[in-house]
Amino acid sequence: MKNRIVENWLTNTNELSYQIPFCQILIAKGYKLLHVTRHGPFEQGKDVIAINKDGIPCAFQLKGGDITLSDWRNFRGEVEELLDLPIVHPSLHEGTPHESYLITNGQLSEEVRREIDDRNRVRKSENKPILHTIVKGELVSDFNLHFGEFIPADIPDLSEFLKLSLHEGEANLDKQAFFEFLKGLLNKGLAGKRKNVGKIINTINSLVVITSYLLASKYKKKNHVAIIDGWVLVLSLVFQTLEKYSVPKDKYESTVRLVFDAILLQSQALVDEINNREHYVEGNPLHDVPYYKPRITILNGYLAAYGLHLSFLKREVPSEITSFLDKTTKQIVSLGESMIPFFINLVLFRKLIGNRDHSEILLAHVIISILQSNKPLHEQGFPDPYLSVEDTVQWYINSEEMNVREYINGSYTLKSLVLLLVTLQRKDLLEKLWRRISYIQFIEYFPEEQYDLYEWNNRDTGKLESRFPVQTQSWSELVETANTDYSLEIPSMMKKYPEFIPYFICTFPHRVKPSMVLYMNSLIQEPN
Amino acid sequence: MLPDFPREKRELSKLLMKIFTNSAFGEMGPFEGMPSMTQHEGRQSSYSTVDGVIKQQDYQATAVEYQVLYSDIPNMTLQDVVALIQQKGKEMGGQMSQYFFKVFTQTVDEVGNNFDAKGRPLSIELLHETLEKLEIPFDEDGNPSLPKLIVSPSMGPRIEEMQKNEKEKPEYKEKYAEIMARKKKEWDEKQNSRKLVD
Repeated sequence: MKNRIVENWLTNTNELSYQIPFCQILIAKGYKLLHVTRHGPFEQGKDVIAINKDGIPCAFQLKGGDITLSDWRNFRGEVEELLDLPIVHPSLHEGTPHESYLITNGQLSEEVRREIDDRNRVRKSENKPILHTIVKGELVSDFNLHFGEFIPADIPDLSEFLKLSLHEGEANLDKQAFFEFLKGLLNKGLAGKRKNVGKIINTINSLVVITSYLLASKYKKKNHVAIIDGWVLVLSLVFQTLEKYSVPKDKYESTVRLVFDAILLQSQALVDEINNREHYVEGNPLHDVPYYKPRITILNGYLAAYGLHLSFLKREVPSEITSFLDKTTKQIVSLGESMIPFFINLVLFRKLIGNRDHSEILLAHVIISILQSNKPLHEQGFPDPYLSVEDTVQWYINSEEMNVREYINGSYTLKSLVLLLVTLQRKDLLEKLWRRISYIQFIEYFPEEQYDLYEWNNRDTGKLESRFPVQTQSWSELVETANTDYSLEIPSMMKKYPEFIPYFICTFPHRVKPSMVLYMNSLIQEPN
Repeated sequence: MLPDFPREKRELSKLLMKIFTNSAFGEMGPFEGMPSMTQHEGRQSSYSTVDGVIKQQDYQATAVEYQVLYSDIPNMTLQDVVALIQQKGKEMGGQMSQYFFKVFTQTVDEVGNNFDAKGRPLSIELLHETLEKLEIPFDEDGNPSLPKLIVSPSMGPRIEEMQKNEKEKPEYKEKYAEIMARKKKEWDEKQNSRKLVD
C-alpha cells in the first residue's frame, strides 16, 4: 500500500515538487548539500550539488516524467553542461572532478537508455566522467526505505492524508488541518520515552518529505502562496521540536535550509508569474470582484515578506517586487486582522527601501480602518486574526449571517501598529488618533512556553490578556516601550533565523505580537 | 450504513444553530446587543476595566439538555425540531441573562451606581434623579446612548401615564434637556483626558 502511495505521488508530480524530498533522500544517505537550484540561466545543468559520504562532489539534474528520444535531444546540451562544466562553488577547489546524475520520476525510453550507454562507453574510453541515471523505481525504493514508515497506513490517518493531498489545487491551504495532521505524524514519530537526536532528526526529515506529498495538488496548480504556507507550517513544527529538545545545529541545518529553499523557490516563482501576467484576475471576472482586492493584498504581504527575507540574508531584492507593490498600492484593503500581517510586512519593507513616507501612510490607513470598525457605541467590529482571510471576506459578503457583535472594542494587532508608528516618530498622528485608540482593548495571548508560539492553537495552555490603553498616555513612555529590546521574548529558532518571521506572520496571523513586530523592526536598516 | 445526507445535514446544522443563538439572544433582554468575544486560546484570561483595574475572568458554564428518543423520530416534523431548538435556546438565554444580571448587580454595587428610591413610586422625577447619577456616553455626533429601563410588565400602565405627562408638561422637557447638557459636558470633560501628552 505504501509503495503504491509513493509511486502514485511520484508519477503525478513534477520535478519542482519532488526536488525537496529528493534532497531529503540525499541527506538521509549522508550527502552534504551545497546548492539547490532556483532554476536560473546560470545553473550550468546542475539542479542540486552535494558531496557524498566519500567526499566526492555530485551534481544532479532533475527531470519530470518519462524521457523520450525527442525530450533527450532537447536537453542534451544541459546534460553535457552537467557532465563537462566543473562545479563552481566556494566549498570546492577549482576543477575538482565530480559525478553526474540524471534523475527522473518517470522512465527512460529504450532509445534514450541505449544512447546514454553508448555515450558513456565513448566517454569512458576518453577518461571522461560518465552519466549516471536514477529513475522512478529507484526513487520509490529510496523513499520507502528512508521515509516509508511515516506514510500513514491506518485508515483514519490515511483518509486524512489522502484528503489533504487531494485537496483542490486552486484552493487556499486548510492551514489548521494541515498543521494538525503533521503534528499527529510528528507525535507518532517521537512516541516512546527515548527521544535521541537521531530519532528526532529522522522524524523531522520525514515530515519534510510528507509535506511535499501533501502539497502535490498545490504544486500541480502552481498555487504559490498555498505552497509557501505549507512549508512555513512544517518549518514551524520543526522549529518547535528543535527548541523543545535542544537539538544541535549541525544535525538540522541542512533540512532547515532545504525548507527555506522551498519557500524561496516558490516566492521567486510567484514573482515570475506576476511579472508575466497582464492582469491579476482569476476565473470568472464577475465572480472575482469581491476577491480581487484581498488577493492583491495577500500578494503584497507575501512579496514584502520575500523582500524582507532576502534583505535579512543580505541578498539582492528583485526590483519586480517594488514595481508590483507600487503598481498595486491603491488596491490593497484591510478587512480583518488576519490581513494586518501583510501590512506590517509592507510597512517594514517600505522602510527598508527608504520609503518612510509610504510606511507612515500605510500604518495610518490600517490603524484608522481598525478604529473605524470599532467606534464606541457602534455595532460592527473588525474580525480578529483567528478568522482566516477567506472567512473574513465571506463575513463581509454574508454580513447578516455573521455575529457582528463579536469583534467590537478589542484588537490583537492595534498595539503592534501603534508602537510601529511610535518608532516612526509620528507623535502628531498618534495625538489625533489617541482618543479613539483608548476605547479599544489591546488583546494579547501569552503562551506558557516560548515554543508554544509555533503551535497553531493552544487551547489548554497560556493566558489571554485584554487591557485598555492608558487614557492619558505619555509619549515618552510609548517611545521607551517601542525601543525596548524584545529579543528575550522571541523563540530561539526565530532569533537564529529571523528571516522566517515575515513569512511566519503571514501564515500565522494570530501570532502577531508587539514583541515580534518590534523585534523585526529592530533588524531593519534604513538606507542613508 | 443506510443512505444518508451528510452535506445537507451540515447546512441544516448551521441553520439550527442560528435559530438557537437567535432564541438565546432574544431572552437576554437588555444584554442582547452586548458585544461578545471568543477566547480562542489559553485557559486563563484577565481584562482591565475602563478605570484600569485588572480583573481575572471568571468562567461560568452554561448548558441545556435535551432528550429525543429514537422512537420519537418517525413522528417528528421539522417544525417540531425547530420548536425544540427555540425552546432550548430560550432556556440558554435565560441562564445567561441570570448570570449577566448577577455580574451587573455586583459591578453596580462595587462602583456605587445603585440608587435607592426609598419606596417612592416610579415617576419622571425619579427617572431624572437616576439620570443625574449615571455616566451617559455620547457618540461622535453628540447623540446620547441612554440606558434601558427594565421594569416588570405590570408597570405598563404607569409607564404610559409617565409618557403622557412628559408630553403635556413642558417643564419635564426642559429639565431633561438641562440634564443632558450637563451630562454631555461631563462626558466631554472626561473624554478630554484621552490624549497623548509629553
